[in-house]
Amino acid sequence: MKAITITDWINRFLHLRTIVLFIFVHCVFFAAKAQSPDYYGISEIKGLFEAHEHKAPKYKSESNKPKNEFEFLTASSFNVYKAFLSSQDNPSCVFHPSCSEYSVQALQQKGLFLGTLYTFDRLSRCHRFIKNDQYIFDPSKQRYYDPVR
Amino acid sequence: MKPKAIFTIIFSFFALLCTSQTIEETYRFAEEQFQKGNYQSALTEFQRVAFFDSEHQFGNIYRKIGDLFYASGDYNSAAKNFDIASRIETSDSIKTEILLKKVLCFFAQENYYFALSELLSITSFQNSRLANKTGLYTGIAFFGIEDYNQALASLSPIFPQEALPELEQIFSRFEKMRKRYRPGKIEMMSILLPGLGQIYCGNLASGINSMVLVGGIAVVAVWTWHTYGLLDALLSVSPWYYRYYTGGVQNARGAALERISHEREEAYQKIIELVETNLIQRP
Repeated sequence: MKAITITDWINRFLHLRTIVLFIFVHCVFFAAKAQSPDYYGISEIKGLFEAHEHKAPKYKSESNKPKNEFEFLTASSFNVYKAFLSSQDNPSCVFHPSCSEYSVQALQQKGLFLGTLYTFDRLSRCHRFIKNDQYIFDPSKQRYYDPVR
Repeated sequence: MKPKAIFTIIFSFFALLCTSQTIEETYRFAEEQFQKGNYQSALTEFQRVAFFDSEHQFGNIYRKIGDLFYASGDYNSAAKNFDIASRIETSDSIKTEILLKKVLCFFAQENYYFALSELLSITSFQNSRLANKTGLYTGIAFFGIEDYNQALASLSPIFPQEALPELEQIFSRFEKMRKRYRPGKIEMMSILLPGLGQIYCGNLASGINSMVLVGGIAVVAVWTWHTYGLLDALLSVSPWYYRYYTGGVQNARGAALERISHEREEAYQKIIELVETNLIQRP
C-alpha cells in the first residue's frame, strides 16, 4: 500500500477547494439570476401608457373571391370617403357602427336591393332626436349600438 | 330477503372506510395543477380550500388566488383577493408586497387614482428594495394621473445621484413637448389656417387634406356668391363649410393629443430603461 505524502494531501486539498469554489460560483450565479429578473415587476409595468393611433377604417372583403366591379366601386368609395371626408368631419353619427360602415355591412350581408334599403333606413334614423330606449348605449364608443340585423 | 339484508349490512360497513378528500390533499392537488399550468383548475381548487379553511391553516391562499386571477386577466377579482390576503398577512414586508400586487391590478385597469390611494397608505418600509419598489409605483401612479412634478418627486429618491440628471432631463423634455403640442394652441392654429395644426403636429397628410377640403368649400362658396348671390351661398355652402372647418379644428386637437400620448409613451419607456439600468442591474 502506497503511503500518502504531504504533497498528495496538498493536491487533494487544492482539488477539493476547486470543486467547492466551482459550486459556490454557480450558486451565486443562480441566486443572482433568480433574484434579478422581476423584483420590480418590470414586465408588468413596461406596457403601460401605450399611445393609441387613430386610423381611418378600411373596407374588408367578407370572402376570398376577387372583387367584382360593383364591389370594387363600393369599396373604393368607402375608403375615399373614410380617408378624406369622414376623417375631417365632426363626429356627428349617433350610431356605432357608423352609417358608412353599416351601409357596407348591409350590402355585404343583404345584397344590393335590401342593402340599399337598409342604408336608407339607417340614414333616416341617424339624427339627434332618436328614442334613447330603443337602442343600447355603448359607453366605450359613446354611441348607440345599431348593427345590421 | 335474507341475502339482501346481509349484503346491505356488509356494504354499510364499507361506508366507514370511505373518507372525503382532506383540505391538505385539496391544497396539494391545487398546487400540482398550478405547477402543471392548469390555472383554471388550480383556481377552483384553491377557492375550495379557502372556503373550507375555517382554521386559517393556509395563510397564503388568497395571495395564490389573486395571482391566478391576475394571470387570467380578471383584475377586479385579483385586487379583491390581494386585499383579503394583505389584511390577514402578519408579516409587514409580505403585506407590502401583496399591496404592491394589488396596485399592479389597478395599473392594468389604468385606474391610477385607486393605485395611488393604495400606495399612499403604505407608510413603513422594511427594506430599501421595498421602499424603491413603492417609490417606483408611486411615481408611475402620479405619471398616470398626469401630475408629472409629483411623479418626478416620487421617482427621484429611488435613483442614485448620478442618474438624477438623466431622469430630470426626461421629464423636462416631456414638459417641453407638452407645451409645444398644447391642444389649445394647436386648435388655435387650425382656426387661423385650416390644417396648420395638424401639419405642426407632424400629421402632414391630414393637414393638407383639411386645407384642400375647407379651401375647396370656400372657393365653391365664393363662386356661388358671385353666380347666385350672397344668400344662396350662405344657405347652400355654409353648413358644409362649418362642418369641415370645425371638424378640422377637432381633428387638430386629436392630433395634438395623439402626439402628446406618443411623447408620454416615449418618456415612460426611457424611465423604465433608467430603472432597468440603475435598479435592476445594480440592486
